[in-house]
Amino acid sequence: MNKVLEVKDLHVSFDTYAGEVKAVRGVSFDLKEGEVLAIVGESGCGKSVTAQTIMKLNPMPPARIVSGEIILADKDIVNASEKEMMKIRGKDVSMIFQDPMTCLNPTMPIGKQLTEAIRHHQNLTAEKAHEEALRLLEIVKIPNTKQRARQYPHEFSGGMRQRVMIAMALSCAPKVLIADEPTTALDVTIQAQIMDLLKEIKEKTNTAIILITHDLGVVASMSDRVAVMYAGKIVETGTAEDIFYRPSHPYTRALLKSLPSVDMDRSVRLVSIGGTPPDLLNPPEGCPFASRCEHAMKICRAQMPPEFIPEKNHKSACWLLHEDCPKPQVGGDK
Amino acid sequence: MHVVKYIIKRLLYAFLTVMVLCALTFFMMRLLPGDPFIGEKAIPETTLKALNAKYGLDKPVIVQFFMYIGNVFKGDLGISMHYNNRPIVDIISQAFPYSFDLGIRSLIFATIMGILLGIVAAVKRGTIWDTLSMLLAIIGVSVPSFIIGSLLQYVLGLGLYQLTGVRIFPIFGWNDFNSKILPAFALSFSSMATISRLMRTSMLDVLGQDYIKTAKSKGLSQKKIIWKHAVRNAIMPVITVLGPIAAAVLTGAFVVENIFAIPGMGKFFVNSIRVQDYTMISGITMFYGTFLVLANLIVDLAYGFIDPRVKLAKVKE
Repeated sequence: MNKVLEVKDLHVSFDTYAGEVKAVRGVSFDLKEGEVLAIVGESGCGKSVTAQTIMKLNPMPPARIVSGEIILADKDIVNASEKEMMKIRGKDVSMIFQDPMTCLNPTMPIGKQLTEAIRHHQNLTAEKAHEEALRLLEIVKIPNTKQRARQYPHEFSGGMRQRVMIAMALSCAPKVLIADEPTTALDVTIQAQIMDLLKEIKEKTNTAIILITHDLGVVASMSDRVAVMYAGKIVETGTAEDIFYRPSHPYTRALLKSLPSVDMDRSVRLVSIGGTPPDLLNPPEGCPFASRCEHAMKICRAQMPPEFIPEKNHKSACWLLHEDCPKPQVGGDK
Repeated sequence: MHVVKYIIKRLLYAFLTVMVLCALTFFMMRLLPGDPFIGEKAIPETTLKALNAKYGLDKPVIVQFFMYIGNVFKGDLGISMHYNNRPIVDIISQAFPYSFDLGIRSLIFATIMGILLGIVAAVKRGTIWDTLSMLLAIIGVSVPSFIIGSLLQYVLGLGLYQLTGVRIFPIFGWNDFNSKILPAFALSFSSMATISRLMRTSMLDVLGQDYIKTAKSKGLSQKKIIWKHAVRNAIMPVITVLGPIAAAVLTGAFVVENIFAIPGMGKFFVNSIRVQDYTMISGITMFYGTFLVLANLIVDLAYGFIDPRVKLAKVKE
C-alpha cells in the first residue's frame, strides 16, 4: 500500500513569554492509504498540535516547526508557502474538529459553506458545486438535502453538524482525513453513529484517517494502528491488538488500567495515574513518564530510551525492554 | 407575518416612549427657575401678563400639558417663545435638512472607515498598523470635535490656501461638495474611533473562533476568510452602537455646525435651553427622541438580517 503521509522527527514549539514550550518533541509516524491511525494520550500531550501542524493550521508565530519533515503526497510541506498550503488544505488533507457546535459559520447557510470548499479546489460552476454539495450531504445521511442546504448551522443538532463537517472535509476526496476528537462533544449514541459513518466512508473512499482521541473505546472499534503520545513524544505504537492486549510501555498500561469497564464492581474506585505530566517549558532529559512510572529506574531519569521493538510493527520507548533489564512481570496488572 | 407584527408592536412601544419623554421634559422644564421672558431688561407687568396669556402660561401646568399634547397630535409643536413667534415645525423643517446632510455624510464615512480600521487593526494585530489605527482611535475618542474642527480649518482650510493659492477646502459654509468635506470629517472622527475600537475587539474574538479555523482548513485565502466569514459575524456590536450614533449625529451637531457656520439644528437645541424657550425644548427633544427610538428599531431589524439566529418575534409553535 502507498504511503500517503510520512512524519519524520517532527519538533514543534510555541514561543511564549515564559519561554519556548516544546509541545511536540520528535514525533515520527507514517500513514498508508485507507489506514486508520489513532493517536491517543491525555490533554496537552501534543496530539492536536501534531495534527494541526500537518495542515499548518497553528498560527505561526507563536507556533514554530523547529525541525522535522512532513511528507504529504511525496512533498515536504514544512517549508511550503502559505499559497502552496492553500492548495493542499482541504484537497490533500482535511480535518474535522472536536466541537461541531462552534466549527460552522453561524451566519452562512451550510450549503454555501460546502460549495465554498468545492469551488475553491475544483473548477466547477455554482450549479454543479451545489449539486455536489447535495450529494455529499446525502453521503453523510442528512435527509431533505435540498431544504437542509439552505438552512443555517443553528437549525442542525450537534450530530448533524458533525455530519456536515465530515461532508465538508470529504468534499474534495482528500488522501488524509484528520479527525481531531470528532466525538468528544457528542453524546454516546451519536458518537457511535458518527464513528460508523467515518468507518463507512473510509471503506468507500479508501481515505486514510488520523483519529485523535482520548477515548480508548473509539480507538478499539476503529483503528488499525495506535500511537500513544505522552509529553510531546510517541511512547508506543503498534496495531490496536498490540496496544490493547500486549501493551509494553508502562504509560499505555496505566492508561488502559484507568479505563472503567461495565462489569466493574461499583465499590471499586476508578484508577487514575498519579502525578502530573512534565512541564514542557523544561522537559526532562530522560523519559518524561519516569516521575510517574512505578517501574522507573535510574537510567529512566537520565536518558531518553530509544525505541525498542518487542514484536513486529510494535515499537515502544521504554528502558524496561532493554535486553539487560531484569524482566518484571508485566501485563499482569488487571 | 411575524416581522410585521413585531414592527407594529415596536412602533407602539416607540410611541409610548416618546410620550413619556415628552411628559418628563415638559414638567422638568417647568421646574427650572426663571421663565422664557426673563431678560436683561425688566418687562413691564402688563406686557408680561399679555405674553403669559398669549402662550398659555397663565393656566395651571397640568392644563398646559394636556393642551400641548393635544396640539402635538395635531402636528403642531407650538410657536417659539424666542424666535419671533416662528412655528417650531417650521424651524425644524428648515434646519433639519442641513443637519441631516452633514450627519449622513459623516455617518457613512465614520462607519466605513471605522470598520476598515478595526479590521486592519485586528488582522495585523501587534504590528505598526494596529498601533497606528488604535492611536487614531484614542485621539478620536479623547479630542473634542471643536479642536479637530479648528485644526482642520487651520491646516487644510487656511494652510492649503496659503500654500497653493487655491481655496480647496472652504473654512466655513455649506454649499458645494468641497465645503462639506471638513465639517463631515470633523463630526465623524469620534464615531469612527468608537466604531473602529469595537470592530477590532469583535474581530479579534471572531478570528479566534473555530469556524475560522474550519475555513482555513478548507484552503481558503486569508482575504476570503476575513471578508466572507469573519466580518459578518464581527459586525454586530458595531450595528448596536450605530443606532445611538446615527441619532446623535443626524439631529444636529451643535459644535461642528457652529464652527463651520452651518445653519443646522444644533444651535436651536443649545440655545433653546439657554433662553428657556419651552416649546423649542419640547419640540426638539421629541424630535430627537423619535429619531433615536426609530434608529434603534432599525438596528434591531438589522440584527435579524445579519444573524439568522436572531429571531425578532417569538414564534408560536
